[in-house]
Amino acid sequence: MLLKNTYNELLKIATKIRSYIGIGALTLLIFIVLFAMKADGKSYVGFVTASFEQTLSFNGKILNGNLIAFIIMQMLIVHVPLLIALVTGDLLSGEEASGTVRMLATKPISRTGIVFSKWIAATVYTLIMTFWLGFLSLFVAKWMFGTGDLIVLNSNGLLILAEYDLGWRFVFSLIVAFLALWTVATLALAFSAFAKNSVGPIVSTMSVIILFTIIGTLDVSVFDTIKPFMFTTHMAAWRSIFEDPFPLREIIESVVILTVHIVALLTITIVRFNKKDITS
Amino acid sequence: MPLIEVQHLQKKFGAFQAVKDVSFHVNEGDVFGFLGPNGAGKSTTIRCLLSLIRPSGGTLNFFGKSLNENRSEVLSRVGCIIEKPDFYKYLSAQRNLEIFARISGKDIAPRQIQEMLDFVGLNGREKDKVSGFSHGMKQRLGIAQTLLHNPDIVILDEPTTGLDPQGIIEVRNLILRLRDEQKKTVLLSSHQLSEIEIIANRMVIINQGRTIVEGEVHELLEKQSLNLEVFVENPSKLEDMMQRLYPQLVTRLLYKSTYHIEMIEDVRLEMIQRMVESGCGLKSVIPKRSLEDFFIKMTEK
Amino acid sequence: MRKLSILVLVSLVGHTQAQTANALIESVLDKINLVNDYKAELQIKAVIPFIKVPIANATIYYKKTDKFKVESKGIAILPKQGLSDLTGFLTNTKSYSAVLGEEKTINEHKTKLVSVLPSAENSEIVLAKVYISPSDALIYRTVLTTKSSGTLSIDYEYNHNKQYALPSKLTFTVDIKKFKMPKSVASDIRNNDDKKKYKENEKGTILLVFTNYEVNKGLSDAIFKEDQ
Repeated sequence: MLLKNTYNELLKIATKIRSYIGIGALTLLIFIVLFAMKADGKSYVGFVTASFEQTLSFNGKILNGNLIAFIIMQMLIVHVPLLIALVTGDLLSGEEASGTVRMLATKPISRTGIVFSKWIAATVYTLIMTFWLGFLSLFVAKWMFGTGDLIVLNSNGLLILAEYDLGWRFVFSLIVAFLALWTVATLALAFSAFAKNSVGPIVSTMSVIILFTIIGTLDVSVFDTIKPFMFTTHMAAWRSIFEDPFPLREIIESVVILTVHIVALLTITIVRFNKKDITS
Repeated sequence: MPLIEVQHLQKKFGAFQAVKDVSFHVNEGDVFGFLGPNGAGKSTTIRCLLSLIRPSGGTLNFFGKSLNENRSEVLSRVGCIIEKPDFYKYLSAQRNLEIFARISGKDIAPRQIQEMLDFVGLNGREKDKVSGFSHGMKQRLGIAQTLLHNPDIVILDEPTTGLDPQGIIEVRNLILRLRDEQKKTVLLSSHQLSEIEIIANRMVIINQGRTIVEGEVHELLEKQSLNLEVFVENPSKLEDMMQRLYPQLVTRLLYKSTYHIEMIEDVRLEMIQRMVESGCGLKSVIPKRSLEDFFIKMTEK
Repeated sequence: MRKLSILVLVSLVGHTQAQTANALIESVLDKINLVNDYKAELQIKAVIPFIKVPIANATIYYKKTDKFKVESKGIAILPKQGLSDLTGFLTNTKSYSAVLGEEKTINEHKTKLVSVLPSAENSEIVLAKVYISPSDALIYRTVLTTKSSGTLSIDYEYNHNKQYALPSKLTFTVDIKKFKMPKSVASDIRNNDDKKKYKENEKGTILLVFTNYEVNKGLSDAIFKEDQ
């Protein structure tokens, strides 16, 4: 029954126009960045190396597909959550708004089963979005700009990673980025269990991300104790994979915290939906 | 053994108690009327029956088993429409039925889906998106999804609400076909006694969250007064006759030449005969049984 | 003004000294001038504050008089000055004045300091201190003071191509200004408080190891054309 309903949920996502808004917007954004980089990427690179240009010269192809992919991921990881929340925030609340929740909840599938199948569908959608982000940014960028070493700008300097050392980093970073987006998808799903239309969950999800991000960037000691536990702190964990030495402990910590968030949010969703009186 | 047995059902929403004490039972083969005015607690009771709402107290048994402990099994044998059937508007009628068929707990072949669409008269429209369907078509599609998995019990909550007269007749006929052709047990909620009177064999009436009366429809209604609405050509002659022959009855002028007569006992045939003889020019006689009146009578008892 | 006073000083030191200094430079240039073109494999190891870079491999091409190209598969960091321009600068003997200085032993080689002062106002090199060994006519150290890059020192080691004055190893020591982070570009999440704090200016070294020299084998001009 769970599998059958998961199939149903995937079918619903696949036939809804809003599911393609996210993918379309993502594609458009990536192509805009690619176009911009093609047109004026050198000045961007100049900006990165500017601090050293008086004494050092950077030889080789700095503006390459790997750098573009990294830039795209860095830019879009902020916006993709909105596109994901657009779909996952509607999964339960959309049923409530359209009244189909009555039809669904009177079928011989448990409420937990309903939530779980929606969550699996949300996971698949997030996976597709992450894969699409990875595919466009990596493969299309490489096709357009060629390959090469990656120059990463951190707050404490430049790190140049050899090309042969990048494949696993990109794969791993996409996995960690997926985990972050999965947390957002689960958060939006959790909000949607409390709402009767999809606007609330989407706005709430983005508000939480914005609020937590602001708290994360505030240099106020009051928040120091909660910062390490906020999922937004770990949303950029994928970027740490492009550090040397590889910060394994910090990445594991981020993965654990994001996973704990996912489990907690899913539990909240299941409990809430099970206790919910469907009166619509 | 009753197929549905409700005992002392209660439901509280915060401080508000929507259902205080509702009990009834539905036997196999019944078309059971679940009657009550708006706000009586019908929808809440029905939602409790379908596990949409968690009851605050009482017991709900289907097929002799507790709903709470056998939810999936029970729901796989029940088909329902709550208030109005809602579908995924962006999908076709067929896709919608496929979605609900997949989670109905039974294996349903595509052929059965097509047959059901034929049964409710939606053949030829199966590929159309539900967004383009009229309310009546949605109601018929709702009945199709209700019957798709061949349930033993069909629960219909106010199935004619919002329908035009033609739609009401169509749905009513479909319910009668369920009873006659498919031998289903039907629980039908309504706030219109006349609707229940036509199709139900047993009924329960609830008001303010409590059961008022339960029993055979004809037995219950026979005991009750039957009012008439008459339309005449010569009102003064009718008034004359009523004062002379039936001074104990209340006769009210509703509007021009139309009167409402409150009966105490069923003297309809005799009265109509006298009206014809009086020369008042009787044009029509419509029997009127007001649920509110019925309630008042019931509660007065 | 500073340059003017140095020039006055140079003229006071005397003509003979200048001649000796020029002769030393000429002896080096004699060797360098034997090279019409060369190609070599280059290994670049940069240890620079604020930059972490893997060892890069490149190919270096040179063709008389000023064609020069470093071709690397990956990203290679090289010093801005001192690699290609010093030879060109020294070749044009009329563009500078040379003054002989003290003797100094560098890596067991006895050298003489030749201070080179460009005559042109707009020259990027303000002062070049070149340590030349009179015995083998090879440069063993150069300290360049430049307008925009600060001070840069280069240590030379030779192996098989002494006759061409082509080094087997160059060690550049460069000034690195304090790294300024463009806020909008990076967004790494972690606090870097635990990481090393840098001083206002630090020294960075770039080690270039040359192997597989191919000298005077003839190089096409097409090699020096820019790819893009």
